[in-house]
Amino acid sequence: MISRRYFYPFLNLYTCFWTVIFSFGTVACQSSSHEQQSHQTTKSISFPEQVHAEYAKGFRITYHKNYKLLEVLNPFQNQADTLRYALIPRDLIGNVNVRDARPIPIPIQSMIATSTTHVGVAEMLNASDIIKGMVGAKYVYNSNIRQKLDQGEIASFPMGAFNKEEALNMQPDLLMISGGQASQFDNYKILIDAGINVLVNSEWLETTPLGKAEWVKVLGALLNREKLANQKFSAVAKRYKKLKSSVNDIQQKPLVITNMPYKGAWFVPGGGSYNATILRDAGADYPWSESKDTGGMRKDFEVVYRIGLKADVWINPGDAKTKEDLLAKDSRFKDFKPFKTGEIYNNNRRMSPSGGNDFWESGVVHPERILADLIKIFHPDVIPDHQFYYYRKVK
Amino acid sequence: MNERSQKQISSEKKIGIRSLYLGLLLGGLLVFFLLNLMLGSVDIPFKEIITILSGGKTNHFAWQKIIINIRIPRALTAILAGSALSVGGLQMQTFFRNPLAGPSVLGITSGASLGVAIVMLAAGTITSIFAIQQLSALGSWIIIGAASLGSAAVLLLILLISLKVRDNVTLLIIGLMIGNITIAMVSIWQYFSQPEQIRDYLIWTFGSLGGVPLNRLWILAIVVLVGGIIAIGMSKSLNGLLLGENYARSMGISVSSSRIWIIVSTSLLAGSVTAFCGPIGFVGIAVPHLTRSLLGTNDHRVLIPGTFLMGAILMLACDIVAQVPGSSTTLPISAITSLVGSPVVIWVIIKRKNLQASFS
Repeated sequence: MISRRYFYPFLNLYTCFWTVIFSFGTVACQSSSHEQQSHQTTKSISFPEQVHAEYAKGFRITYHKNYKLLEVLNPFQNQADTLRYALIPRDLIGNVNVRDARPIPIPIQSMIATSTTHVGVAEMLNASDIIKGMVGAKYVYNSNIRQKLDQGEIASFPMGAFNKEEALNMQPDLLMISGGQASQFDNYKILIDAGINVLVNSEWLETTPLGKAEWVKVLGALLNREKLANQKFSAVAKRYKKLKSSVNDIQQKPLVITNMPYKGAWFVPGGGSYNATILRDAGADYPWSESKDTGGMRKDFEVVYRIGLKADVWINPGDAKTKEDLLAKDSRFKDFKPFKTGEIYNNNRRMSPSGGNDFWESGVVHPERILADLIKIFHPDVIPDHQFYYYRKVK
Repeated sequence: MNERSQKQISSEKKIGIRSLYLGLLLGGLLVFFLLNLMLGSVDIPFKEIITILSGGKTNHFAWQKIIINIRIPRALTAILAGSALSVGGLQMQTFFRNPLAGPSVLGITSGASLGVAIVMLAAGTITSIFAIQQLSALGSWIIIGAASLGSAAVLLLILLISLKVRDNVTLLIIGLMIGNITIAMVSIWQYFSQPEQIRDYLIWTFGSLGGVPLNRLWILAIVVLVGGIIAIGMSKSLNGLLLGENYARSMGISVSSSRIWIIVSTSLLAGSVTAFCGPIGFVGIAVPHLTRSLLGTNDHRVLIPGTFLMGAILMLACDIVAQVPGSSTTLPISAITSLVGSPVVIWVIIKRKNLQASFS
């Protein structure tokens, strides 16, 4: 039994109430569940290839007779109600009952993706054909998906409030959402009640690059492609660790600033965040490495400005492509040392005409490519042959 | 005195016409309710809708789900939200004897927003509040309570000041300022929040009628019903208050207890709707004027049911516009209520010219 943490003590009372009600229900249903078990013994499925989370903290997959149990441990930031999904082979659905878990028929054949990161994950498992609906079509980079969107083979959902009617009409096997869209959870709750399987993909809450990429295993389990997911991910992890160790002993670390201010506030990644981790792994000196924050931190413009004056490198300056773009935003940027030395890099090398950025798509499952780019920026001598994949110099 | 008694006599004559109007409004409500069920992103033939509504068998599983899980809850929410905000606004206009009063103008809605924001703060992050909503019906009570308390706090403050300040315009300006203070407090909190949390809150402020599932709709329905019953019970007091406190006292109305009940009713009505649907502006000001103009009376025994029906119809109509039938896009409801409502009110004011006459 998975323990559930609630925010309000009296919610526990509420849970107790339902537990009592349900236990009466269970007693009443016991005779019928015996029948089901005998029925199940006639057909039993085991899963030879399995995936397990090594780096990711947000999910857990366990394998049982006739079903896989997927638990999403941190669907939304600090709130901690574990979501449980029972992945049940398609022909056994209805015969296998798992308590407190939402049954999902596997392998899933159709899915609505609500973020381009979901495209990146599907593409890695050669499964982009299961995407039948897409939210935010203009931000997609993958040309295959873009073409299908243009031809109407994939339904395009507008941004903003999620269109529940279209989703219900489509009846997909899975609606994949990101935990960050919690404000819309009521919308999704209605869809869940109406029989749509909504999976919270909270990969964005992982604080390590490999943890984030490991979410490919979740889709692997949903597609019965565990073998492929393991292969692909371990190749990524191996390369990532090799690259990381190649800059481990370097003492000379360049001072780096990131991002771009907005209306006087400069959001920088907290020291415990994904972004800070990958900067550290690439051998950079990140000014806020010490902070424990796992999200973004608001800094006043002048706080970062002071560091910018002496920093060696500036990465990810908003959507800027040229130095003129930067000056158009704020002429004070010309005082920055990276501006004078030209050491400004942005992650927008691979962009679709409508504004989709592959960094946010395939970059999620390919942190080793991002790391290689960053090492090339911070320590060009370490991997001289590497060609930039996501990054470009802002000239 | 003589004039007043004449007014009352003439109003008795019109009772027949007024019940006809109320009947028409009721019919209009039914028509718009059906229209609301018919129109949406997905085209569903009228025949199928009737089949589904009458509980018959349909071959379109998805359509049945769309009607039962999406369109019916949304239409019922629209009826509840529209009527609650309108009756709340009517009470405020009579209470302050000011045609510009309404839940959103006097900061009652922003008080509710502050209440919601405080609960979100107490729970750690804004995402928690939605998680509470998701967990159980009890969570909804917490938000309703917070929103109602927030709106009651603002109203009480305005009431306290009203004991000192007798001038209605001054009081209204003070109300506006208190509204601004609560908005400022919310924005300071936002300033220290993560961009994702700000976005979450922003989406909440757009308002939404489609976020209340059937199994939680009853909570909203009960609170609105209680608020509405109190309002109907206050009809006589409201009639008296409209003619001034002294006149009300001379009618044997206890002014101080009436004030409290009116505040309780308005807080429940405006607070619960804001909690469930986010701040939906404008309906509260516009609908009472529309109803007065249609029914041609100031008698709250007629006005309250009339406002109730009119508010529900207007909100259903706005929701139809917001759904942009036939497209997969939807628009935020609070923007539509203002877009549709403002020209209507301008038209009514220009046509009637004597708006202030209803209040003096």
